[in-house]
Amino acid sequence: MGVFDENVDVLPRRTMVLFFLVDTSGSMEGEKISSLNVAIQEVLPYIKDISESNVDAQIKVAVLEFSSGTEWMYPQPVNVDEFTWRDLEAGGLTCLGEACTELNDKLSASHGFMNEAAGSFAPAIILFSDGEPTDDYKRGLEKLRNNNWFKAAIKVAIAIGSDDNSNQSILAEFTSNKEAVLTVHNKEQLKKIIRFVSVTASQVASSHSSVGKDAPETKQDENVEKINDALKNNQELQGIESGTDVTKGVDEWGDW
Amino acid sequence: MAELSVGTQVRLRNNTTCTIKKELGRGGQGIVYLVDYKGGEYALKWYIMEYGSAFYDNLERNVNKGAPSPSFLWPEAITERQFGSFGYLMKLRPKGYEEVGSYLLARAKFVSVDAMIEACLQICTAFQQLHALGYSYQDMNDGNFFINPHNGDVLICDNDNVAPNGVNMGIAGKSGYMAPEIVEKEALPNRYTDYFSQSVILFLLFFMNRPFEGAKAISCPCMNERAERILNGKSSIFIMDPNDRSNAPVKGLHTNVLRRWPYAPEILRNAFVETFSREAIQTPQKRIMDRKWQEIFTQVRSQYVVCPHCGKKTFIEPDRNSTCTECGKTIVRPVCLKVGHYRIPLVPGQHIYLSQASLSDDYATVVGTVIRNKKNPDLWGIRNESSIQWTASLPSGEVKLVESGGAMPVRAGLKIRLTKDGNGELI
Repeated sequence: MGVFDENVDVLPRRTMVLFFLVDTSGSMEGEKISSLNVAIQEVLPYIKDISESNVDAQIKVAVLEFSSGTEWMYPQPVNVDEFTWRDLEAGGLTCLGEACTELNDKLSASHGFMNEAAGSFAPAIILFSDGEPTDDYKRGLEKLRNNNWFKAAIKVAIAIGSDDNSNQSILAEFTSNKEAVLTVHNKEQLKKIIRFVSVTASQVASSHSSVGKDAPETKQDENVEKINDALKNNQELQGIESGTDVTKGVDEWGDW
Repeated sequence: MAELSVGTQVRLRNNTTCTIKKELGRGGQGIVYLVDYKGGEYALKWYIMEYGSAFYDNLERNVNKGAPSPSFLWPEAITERQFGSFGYLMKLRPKGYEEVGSYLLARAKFVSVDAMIEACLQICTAFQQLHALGYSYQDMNDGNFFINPHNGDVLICDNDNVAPNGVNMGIAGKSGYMAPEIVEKEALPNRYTDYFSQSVILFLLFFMNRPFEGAKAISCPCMNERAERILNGKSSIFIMDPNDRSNAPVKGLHTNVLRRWPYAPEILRNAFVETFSREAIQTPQKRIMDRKWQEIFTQVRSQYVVCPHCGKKTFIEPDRNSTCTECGKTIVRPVCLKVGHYRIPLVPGQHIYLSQASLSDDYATVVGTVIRNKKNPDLWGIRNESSIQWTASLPSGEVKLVESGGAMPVRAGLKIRLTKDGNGELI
């Protein structure tokens, strides 16, 4: 080897931040939060694999929990290969509006998380909630929905249980797409959807976009298509519902 | 769509079966299984997305027609539609072959520039053969190639979208690889869009940076779909475009191309400038085609020679003195063999290949080698390693025959007939 080829640097890769927004209100206590803790921990090695072999982008993870207030698990997004999950505990109210405000602050290149030398892809944001917000969520959500990073992001919301359909409708306001709202009725479904959605959203969000006449217009569309295809065809995901009219499932979250 | 479990027998259209042994991997389109087929191990690509009869029929036609060249991990047998889907069999990727992505992430590395040039030559040649059969590849990206870093041997996979030029299997591609007119939704994949994608792959392998990601890409904090389409659509600007430096590589970020570009042969730099020019971005017919690329990389290979001062290899130019990239000393322009479009510097160890000596596209067969005189190493000659007698004409008009195994001196002014289509001159 000589001057021409002895040094090769890794191709500059963009960064894609995978956000987990987790409702840690009191009603999440017990099986819901403990299954969620386990499921996300279990999916992280898969995300690490996607990041490691990806020439387009590296993946970082950021976790925002919200209950009576909000708290980031770490002050900055962390490379997925260095990321350690800290178990979340449930208790308190469901301040979704505050979470939206907090996320809006961080979705910024100048004063937030999105300042990367080689640039970023739009993030993937997965929201988990089991009940209606207890705060005035509209104002926070409105601000967030005007954020360009948020507009371009892949957004999926997981409704944990379906006491009534009102939570699903609120989650659809977050995702701007009814089909990106997925309802699970038990911990098995929760685990499976966490794995599937985290992997799919990470893959789509961290790659160059699809182009061509048949290509989906946006990554959000591509992600929703993939998820809904899988809900139809993948037997493993049976029972998980997409959309805001949730009728089929019976919730089983054990006794606690 | 059902996944297949270990032990499942899958029926093939050729009235045989294969048996699932284990899963090897999965992607957006399907799952790849290791299967037992006719007593050997093969890979079965099993679709988990729905594909219609046009796709199935095209795949079956490709199976029946056979691979354009051994470089393709071509579909060798197609399954019947069963278990809610179908798939096709192909050979397994041999050990020691790495994806382009591994090279770009600096996990794999060519052991030599010669291996890298060989990989580029194999890619041009394979696609030339594919295009010559009237196919287009369509969805080319970094995931389609497995390359051996030791010898540059290339295997091309994902041949299920290959279709007659002009026919489309309804697929989309990855921005950054697909031609601008596809990005702009003005065209469907065809031979000319393949030429674009192929140039992107060749650039990536040689310069280890993306051809359209320079300052403009970096100035965009959020690379959303719209920004990607602008960057890769018809207004895209090649990072080394000499007439528009607005998308130039950024120091400290696009380090590989900044390091390598000045050392690369002029003919190669000019080729990329031409094929990624504003004109060729707008007009697909202006793009460099496979055969031309093969010629360019064959010339590039001839220009990678041993420095007479330090003994290390370096690129030189055939029409002027060069500076060795290793020791920095001046290398006086050697006598060159001018034959066809080629200018082959005649330095000891240099080979002359069949594709240079004739109209053949065989760039691997050596027909001549530059040697040193055993008694006086400062005297060089060309040894005829072909089976055809050469004729050498001296400036005086005298003609001498150079038998197979014989040699002639390296001396400017001599004319040489290598084959009936290969008349050259030492300049």
